[in-house]
Amino acid sequence: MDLKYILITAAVMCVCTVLPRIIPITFFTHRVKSRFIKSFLHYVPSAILSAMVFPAIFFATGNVITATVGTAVALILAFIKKIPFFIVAIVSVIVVFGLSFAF
Amino acid sequence: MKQKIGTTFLKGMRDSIPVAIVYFVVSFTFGVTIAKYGFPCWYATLLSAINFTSVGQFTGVRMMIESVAIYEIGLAILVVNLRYILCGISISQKLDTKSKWKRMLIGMFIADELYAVIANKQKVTFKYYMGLVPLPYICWIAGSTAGAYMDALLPERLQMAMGIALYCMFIGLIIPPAMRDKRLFFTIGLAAGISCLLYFTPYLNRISFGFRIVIAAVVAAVVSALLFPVSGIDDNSTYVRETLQDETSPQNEDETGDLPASDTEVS
Repeated sequence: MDLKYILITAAVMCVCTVLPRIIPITFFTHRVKSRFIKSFLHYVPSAILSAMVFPAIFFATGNVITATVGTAVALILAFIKKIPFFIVAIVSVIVVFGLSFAF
Repeated sequence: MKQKIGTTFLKGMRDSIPVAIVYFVVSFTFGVTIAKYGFPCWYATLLSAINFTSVGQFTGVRMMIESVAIYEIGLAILVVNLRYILCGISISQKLDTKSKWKRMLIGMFIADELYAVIANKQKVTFKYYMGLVPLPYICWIAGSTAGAYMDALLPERLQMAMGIALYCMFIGLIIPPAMRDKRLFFTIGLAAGISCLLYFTPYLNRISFGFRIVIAAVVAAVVSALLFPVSGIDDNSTYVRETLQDETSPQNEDETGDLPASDTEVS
């Protein structure tokens, strides 16, 4: 690896990550009054996270079968009340690991 | 007064412990990736310390392996991070402080999972967010460092299995709020559907990851907002119910104290 290349890239990545993070929160300070925008902001978090999960989750383990089973396990656990999200993640990893011996 | 602020900071720290655990696992995977592709191990530490973002870091590394031009990597990272603009505006509505410096400091540490922790809260204090940050940040750096130095020790199967951790955590974060507010299931399904459509349809699949997420999320949220507009009064009563359900701890006065304020804002 070319040291200069990876160091400059690291700096560029940092700038491109920090700017979208700090500009809106710092300068967009007034209250949203519009009911539409409020509703939009109400739905945005679930929409972002869901779009990131699907379909990427099916290719996350390098094997579509184990990944699909892992997804199903995560969904079932998530629907059971009182199970914290990190337990959902850890149990799914263990299941996928176990399955990887079979497929 | 002092105690109240302290509680808020500590409450943030307590709420961040699960995130910190998952962060360790995810960044460990990142560290392993870095070592596998022949980057120096300290590079994993450096990237994690100055970026603190999962998707962006994986994207950058994948492009560096193919020696992509630096400006193209920067552009890709910007697009991937467009979602932070949405997160930033959303957090901005919940914050108690008008101080630009405090807001900027919070902005530096916006992350998907921390955002998910506060996404269901109506109000967030500066102290609370500052309490959320340290443990996940330290675990993020520690995890990627450990992963980079220990990649040879881990069986390949386990490394592959760990790839799913991040996504399963997201599932664990979006389902519970949707069970309280069924309209969110529509949003989740629509966003997932559009994202899959863009990914699998010929021609459309040339859209980069970042744009795909932004398009899917914006379309799904706009359609949901048009079909099921949120009425302020509804919103608040759900919030009260949630507070009563989730926060059984008695030292919760600061949050309930915020209610009248948000009440006036809504009307």
